[in-house]
Amino acid sequence: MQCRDVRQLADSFLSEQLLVETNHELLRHLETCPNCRADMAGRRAMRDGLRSAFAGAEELRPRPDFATDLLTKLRPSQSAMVLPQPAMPISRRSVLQSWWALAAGVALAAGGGLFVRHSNSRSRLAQLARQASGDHQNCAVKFNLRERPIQLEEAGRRFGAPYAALATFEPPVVDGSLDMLERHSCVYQGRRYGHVVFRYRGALTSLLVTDGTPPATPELEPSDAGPAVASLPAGRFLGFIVADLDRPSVLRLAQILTEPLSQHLA
Amino acid sequence: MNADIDADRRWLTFETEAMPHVDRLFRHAMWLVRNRAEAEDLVQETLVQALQSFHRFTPGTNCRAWLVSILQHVRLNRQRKQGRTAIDAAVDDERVANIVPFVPPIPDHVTDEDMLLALQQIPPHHQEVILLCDVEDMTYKEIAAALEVPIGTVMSRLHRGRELLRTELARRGAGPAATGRGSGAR
Repeated sequence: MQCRDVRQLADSFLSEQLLVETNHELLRHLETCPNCRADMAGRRAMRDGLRSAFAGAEELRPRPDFATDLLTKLRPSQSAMVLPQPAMPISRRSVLQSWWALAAGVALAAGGGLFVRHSNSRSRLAQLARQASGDHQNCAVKFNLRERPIQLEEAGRRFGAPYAALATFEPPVVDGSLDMLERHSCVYQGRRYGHVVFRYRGALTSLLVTDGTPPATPELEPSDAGPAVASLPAGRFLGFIVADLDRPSVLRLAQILTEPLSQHLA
Repeated sequence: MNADIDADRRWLTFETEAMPHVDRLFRHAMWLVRNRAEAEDLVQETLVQALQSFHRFTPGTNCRAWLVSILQHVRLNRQRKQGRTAIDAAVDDERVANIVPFVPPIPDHVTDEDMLLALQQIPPHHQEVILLCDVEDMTYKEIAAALEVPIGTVMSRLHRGRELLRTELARRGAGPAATGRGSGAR
């Protein structure tokens, strides 16, 4: 492969659109050609610069309550699609009966509403826990994220103070050694995390903090075959501990970290 | 009752998968239309359409790319209603083909402001492809589907667009432009 070919393929190479064989050929050329290497580095820098400029531009930022407003607008239209038609009472007796039915219905609905709300928030938390587990596996274990992680300080400036605060969070002394490995902010499946990676009892462990409604207390989340996941409150944010450890150990770690983490991020 | 549960589950999945992308969607829309109210309206219509056709989304695939594709379609349809057609893009392509005789090296130090100002200076159809590829991480195939153009057009616009962006960055004198890069082709 010649320099001219490399320059022609550079765009597709950066966009990861080349066949594996062509990729290898191109990489072999880059190993021996400093000019093409520099050109490729420049192209990559231009792409990264564009991403960073776009993500940081104040004039492109939505107003703070835009997402909340959208949620409010979208949610009722969703429920309206499934609302049942009201029944029509036909006699005085049936009206009286229907009052009893209504009273019973209200009582049931109050209890049922609480149940549905609880089950909804549980189900949402379980989904977020699965995503957190995915981030742990693709970021901490496989280094396989689509977006390059950024510094927590930068994430703090762009996405909220708790991310920056995570940069200085020192976990308390816990039973078993805890060696700090890495801190950054990463994105997995469109969700941003503050990510602290450490080794705990010999296992790669992630403390993930993300924008979301925190649970009241640390809880184990369902995890089929993957690593164990516990959710925990992290100030006004939602936290997760993910590790290839036994579930009681992960829950215990979440319990130990909850108070100092919440205080630090508050 | 089952319909309630299904709708509830669908909404929860939608909220988890799609709503985290609102910020990025808005940024994309805002860049395209340059008007806050219009950008908000565009994002809202995008999400309404996404929610209606959420059964077509495959969990685990790139949800942001899917949403951006819908946003592009919504915008394209609005443009068509306003009478703006693809002829503009053809004119842009022809104009660009005539004005990039030499591609300068990429400057070493580029500020965010320089980058965005330079991007603004290149034709919209090239901006669009660069954003979809470099910022939104969409594949050529996804971009082609979103813009309703052949993959070859995506590739040529991307290539030309990046050349134009380099030219514009060098013209703006962002950092020491002459590094000698790109001049040593074998």
